[in-house]
Amino acid sequence: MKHVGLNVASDALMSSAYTGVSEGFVIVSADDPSMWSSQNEQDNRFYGLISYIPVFEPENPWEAKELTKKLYDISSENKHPVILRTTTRVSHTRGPVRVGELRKIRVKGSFKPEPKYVLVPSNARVNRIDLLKRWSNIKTTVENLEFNKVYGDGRIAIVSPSTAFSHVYETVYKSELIDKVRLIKLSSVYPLPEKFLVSNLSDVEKIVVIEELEPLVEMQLRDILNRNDIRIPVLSKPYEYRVFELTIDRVREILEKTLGVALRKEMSTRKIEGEIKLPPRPPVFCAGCPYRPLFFELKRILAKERVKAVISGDIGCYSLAYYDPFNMQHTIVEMGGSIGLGNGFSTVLDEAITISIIGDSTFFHAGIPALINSVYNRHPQIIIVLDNMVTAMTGHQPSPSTPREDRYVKIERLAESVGVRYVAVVDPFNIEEFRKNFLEALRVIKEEREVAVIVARRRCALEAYWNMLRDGVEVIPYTVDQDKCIGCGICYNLFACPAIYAGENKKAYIDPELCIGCGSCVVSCPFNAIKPLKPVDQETLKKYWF
Amino acid sequence: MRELNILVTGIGGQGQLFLSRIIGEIFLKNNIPAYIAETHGLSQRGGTVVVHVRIGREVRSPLIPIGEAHIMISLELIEASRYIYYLRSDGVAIINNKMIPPPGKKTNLEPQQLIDYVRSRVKHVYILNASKTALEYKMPISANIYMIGGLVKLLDRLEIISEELSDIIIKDLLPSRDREINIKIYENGKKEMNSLLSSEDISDLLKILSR
Repeated sequence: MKHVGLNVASDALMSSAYTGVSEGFVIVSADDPSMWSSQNEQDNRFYGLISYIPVFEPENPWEAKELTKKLYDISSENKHPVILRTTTRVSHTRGPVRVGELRKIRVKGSFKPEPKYVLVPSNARVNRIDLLKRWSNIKTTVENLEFNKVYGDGRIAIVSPSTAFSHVYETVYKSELIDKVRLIKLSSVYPLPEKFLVSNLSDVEKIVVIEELEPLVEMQLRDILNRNDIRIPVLSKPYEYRVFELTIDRVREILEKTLGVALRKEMSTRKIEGEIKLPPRPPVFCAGCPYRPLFFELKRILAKERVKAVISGDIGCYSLAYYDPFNMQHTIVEMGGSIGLGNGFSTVLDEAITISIIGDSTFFHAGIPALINSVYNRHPQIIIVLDNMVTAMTGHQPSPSTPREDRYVKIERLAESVGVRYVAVVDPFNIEEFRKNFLEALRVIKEEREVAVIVARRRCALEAYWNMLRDGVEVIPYTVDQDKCIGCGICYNLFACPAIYAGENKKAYIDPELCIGCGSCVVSCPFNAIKPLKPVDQETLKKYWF
Repeated sequence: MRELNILVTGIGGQGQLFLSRIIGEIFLKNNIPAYIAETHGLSQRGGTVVVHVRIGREVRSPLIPIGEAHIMISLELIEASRYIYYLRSDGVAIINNKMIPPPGKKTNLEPQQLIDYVRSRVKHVYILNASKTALEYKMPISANIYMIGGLVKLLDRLEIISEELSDIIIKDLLPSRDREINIKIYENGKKEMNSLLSSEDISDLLKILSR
């Protein structure tokens, strides 16, 4: 799971170190330095420290595979969980991997009851003592890990794990440092292989530690040197390199700053003459996204009705509504936090109403307990559940609202069953229907002081579109009638579908390369200028879009 | 091949990842290691996308250092301009002649202005009619296939990889649906690139690319 996923799983994680495991248990934690798609860049190697779970880092995809195999062995031999921690440049890199023989996978097992699995205090105390015994074995195991390596025998040691090591290796080998350094590549980052490090570092003049994010290896290394009475200066990366991922360029800077040398750079771009101002391109709702008309209309309703609202948002595709032109959602803090925060807002705010926005999979993940609180404690907020029937943002994994044979959890029935009195289901493309229901929900929270739930349901456009392509159904793009268009810009500035752009005289044009024929833009045009290129068979479309 | 760095840029949804994967497969099949590192997560949602493709035996880091890309392939003009600083000034930019303004943002940029800008930064710039041709074949999403054609032709003319072997690999990787039409688009890309490459270009590029 990704780094923040382990926060959610941390309760179970801690206990797994106490119970120990009977078979191999490898937890992959994929951290995200630079926050390419996350809310923070926490360094999950620290989970190892608080839980007594060893942490290992691979350098690249090939090593991730080899190390995983090894870790299953380490885990089963020591009867203890292990963490394989990757960062963006391992998780999101394709590289050559040599395929070996697959071990036989066992999917069935047996369970032998033992007191250690029942973490009541009397058992937990025994577990804690056993855990420390296992830990001492693990410390020995990592001493001989073949993935920890030494390159070169210079007097300047550079200690580095993970992809940071790739950057270090390439920087050094292309520089004048090549004969002066000794590179120590670490795969076991917690606990550190103490004897291995002492024997390889005791004759160097200085040590530079280069790792992404926090100085976890560095802290431990300083402790090891101290305990072994080795007095060699350890140079930390400057503070500003704790933030964001490392690259060859940043590693070169770190080496220059810590070692006080100037390293040559192979090539640079031509001197910049007259820069050009480029518009930023944040991610946007896809063409056809069911959320676009909903946020477009919600913004319009709030303005028209002069409703002041605090919008508690959540994590999913709809987080994108924070950006231009919708600028909706005042808080997005964690997966599934919207309704809970909404409960708080609606309790303390008198001058504004509270709207919580949550997607279907996020709702199933952590929204339900907070919804029950809303009902039971009478928190008057409007909850809009955006149900696109799949976990779209992370790559279309199924959610409990994805129909599978006869199974499908209906959010509206769930809401009703916990006692929500106002539950409406709307098609977000039908903005009239949405408006009508939203105004009613507004009445419910104001007059009845109760929670109101609106489920906005329509399939993720990408899925609908892919299915149409798969089945060979013709996708008919829409077009703008240039006689009717007056260039008001509502469609390209406020509705902001990526397929619509401003052309000559500010009139709107639709790019047939990007239009997927959803037709949601039709209602955004006050002049009825948008129409399909040729007649659309609505019945066929319905099969794909719902 | 010691080191060849190719930066692929464009907008999420234009098929940069597929394009990059094909480049990687071509080199792997030629027994040359390749790394493909993508910026990810939100890449499907119309945001800017950069993929680093690093090829060769001396490559260890998956990310191209600034100013050290030999080739940039871009599916869109604004995104080509945005990341041009990654390219060596004596490098090659192969760019789809298509500008897609970010939705909801006002801009007065003209395609020609961006082309001029790129030319002011990089010596070899080839503007290909990828989107236009793909649309003529009613396959607007296949502009990336056209660009692969352009790259394959360049690498073949530089004798880095063979066109014949690349053809086989690409045909293999294309999804069976619309394969025939995509092959036509790919062939068109090769043809246009070939017509743009002068022999001076080739001898000039051999100096930086044939290491």
